[in-house]
Amino acid sequence: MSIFWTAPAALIGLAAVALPIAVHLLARQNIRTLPYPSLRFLRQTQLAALRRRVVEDAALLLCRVAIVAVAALALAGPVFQTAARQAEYAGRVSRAIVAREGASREAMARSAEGAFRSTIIARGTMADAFADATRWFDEQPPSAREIVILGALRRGALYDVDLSFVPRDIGIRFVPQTVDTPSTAVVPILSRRNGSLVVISREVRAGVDATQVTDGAVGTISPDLVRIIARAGDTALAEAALAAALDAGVPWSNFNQRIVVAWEGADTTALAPNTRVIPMPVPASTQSAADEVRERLLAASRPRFREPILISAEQLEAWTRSPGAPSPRAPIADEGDRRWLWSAVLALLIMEWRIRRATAAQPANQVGEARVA
Amino acid sequence: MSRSHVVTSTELQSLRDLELMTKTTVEGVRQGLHRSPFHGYSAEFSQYRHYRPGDDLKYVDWKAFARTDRIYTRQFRETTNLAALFVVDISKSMDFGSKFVLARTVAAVLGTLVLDQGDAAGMLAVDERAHLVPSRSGRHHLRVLLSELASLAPAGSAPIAAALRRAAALLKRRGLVIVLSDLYEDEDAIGQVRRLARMGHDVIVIHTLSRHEMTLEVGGAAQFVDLESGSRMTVQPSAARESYVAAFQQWLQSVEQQLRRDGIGYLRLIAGEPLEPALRRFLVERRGMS
Repeated sequence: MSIFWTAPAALIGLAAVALPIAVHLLARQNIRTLPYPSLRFLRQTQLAALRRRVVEDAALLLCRVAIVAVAALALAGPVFQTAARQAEYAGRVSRAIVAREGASREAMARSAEGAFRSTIIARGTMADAFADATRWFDEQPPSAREIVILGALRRGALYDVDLSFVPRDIGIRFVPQTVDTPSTAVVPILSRRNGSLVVISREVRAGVDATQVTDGAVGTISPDLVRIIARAGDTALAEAALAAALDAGVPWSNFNQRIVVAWEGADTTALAPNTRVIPMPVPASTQSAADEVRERLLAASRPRFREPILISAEQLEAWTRSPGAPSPRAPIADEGDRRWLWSAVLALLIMEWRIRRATAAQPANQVGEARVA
Repeated sequence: MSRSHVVTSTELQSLRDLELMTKTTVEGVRQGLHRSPFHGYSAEFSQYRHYRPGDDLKYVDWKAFARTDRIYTRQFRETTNLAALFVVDISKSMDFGSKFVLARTVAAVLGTLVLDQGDAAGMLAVDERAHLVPSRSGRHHLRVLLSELASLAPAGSAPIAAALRRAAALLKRRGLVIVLSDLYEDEDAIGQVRRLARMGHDVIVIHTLSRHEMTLEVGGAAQFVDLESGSRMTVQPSAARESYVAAFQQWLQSVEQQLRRDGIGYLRLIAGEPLEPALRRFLVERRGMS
């Protein structure tokens, strides 16, 4: 068995045991007046009576020293690490619940049930969620640790590399939730055909493990819906980049607002008031210009359709693992062991009071001798 | 000598307590004590009667048996043949623990025994004045004796020796003198006890003590004040205890030896310890000696 202290600085208080000893040795004794039948036999011991006492009332002194010492130990907050307590640590689970799309409040509450400590983490990416969870675990008292991922996990949301950053002794469990995903959707795609801006109605059909895409009707659209402006020297590159981005097709949702991508240094003063300007720096390289422009357009268009395919149950099971042993670096928390010491202090105080009373209340002519027969 | 005694209500209350205590204790002491432990000196012959089984053989008249070949038992006229005087120490030193209560109770118990067997009992205590109940017999006298005992308080300054001197002057014929004291003025007191014994009195000294004064069981330093002289001494009992107890025990042995050497009955009673067994043992031993 080992002992840890939650407030070891309080152990300095042990030095205070010197106080009752000093008081005991230095303080003048409380001399009582005691009527006595005869002093004839005391006369022989008068010299002994005048001698300085060394440790008188040893029980009282011992009691007072023990009170101070035990109180100091209680203030230091001992935590006794026994085999039973280690087993108790391993038996309780701190749970970080990562809430994903489709995670209901009820499911979160159910996941938190029975946990020693729990928290809910909602982050955009799983990597960020795992980092938060690991940090949270580091602040918790010793316990087994488990990350519960609650909700729908679509393909691309979680990779092996994300899990590699989670320590091996932290368990991982998935609680998949069904999400309302349409099996078929028509997504408008903004594109270019023969140099003109068009909108293509693209039908997306979600299967169990694949998505089927079919282009449908093509409609013309105002060429001013999406434009790009840049400094005089960059105009050609900018227009080429926009053309390339539109050729690849961009899922589009808002056809009522004109959008102008404005490279850094472009003159935006002459734009119509109902125009949304998307500023962006001038791409560093010519090769990436089209991709960067397309990313800006995708961010602006916010297409509603999302990839419906979920990560398979087999994959989730392969990633699942049980919680390991509590971390040895977990901060020691107060387990209430000090209450035993405070109880001992209370008992010692009562004992000290009784000893003091027994010592003080002894005028010998008041002793209980009334019983005669 | 008739003596009027006015008993106050407080005394009556304490008398009731004393009567009750005495009654229960006397009953206890009587168990196994079929013959009187006190013997008179002047029994007066009355008549003969035929011997009956159970009669004490010492009362059989063997000369008459030799003459008549019949066994006769001598009978005596029932007179008061024993006059017992209880000399009670009421000096202030008795006001410690419950020494005085013990002494008073013992006087009451033995007084009741003496009066119950038809003998006479009296009491003498001396402080600024003498508290005297002359030795008389009878049930009524028991109440007088008990009421006087109940009215006593250990507040006097006169030593027990003064009371013993007074007793020696009072007692005209041989009798039983029972002294109840802590004997702190032992030199003088023992001298007076011896004097009474030399006068032919049967003297019993009942040495009443408190356990605490024998062991100095006092916690922490204290200023001890002599109950009688008022002198003071500061003592650390834990340091003084060992030599105190040794000196006290030596003194006790010395007192007992001095008294027993002169054939004076000695009984040491400790307040708080059971009284009945100690008294009964003493009385049985005393009867055996007679």
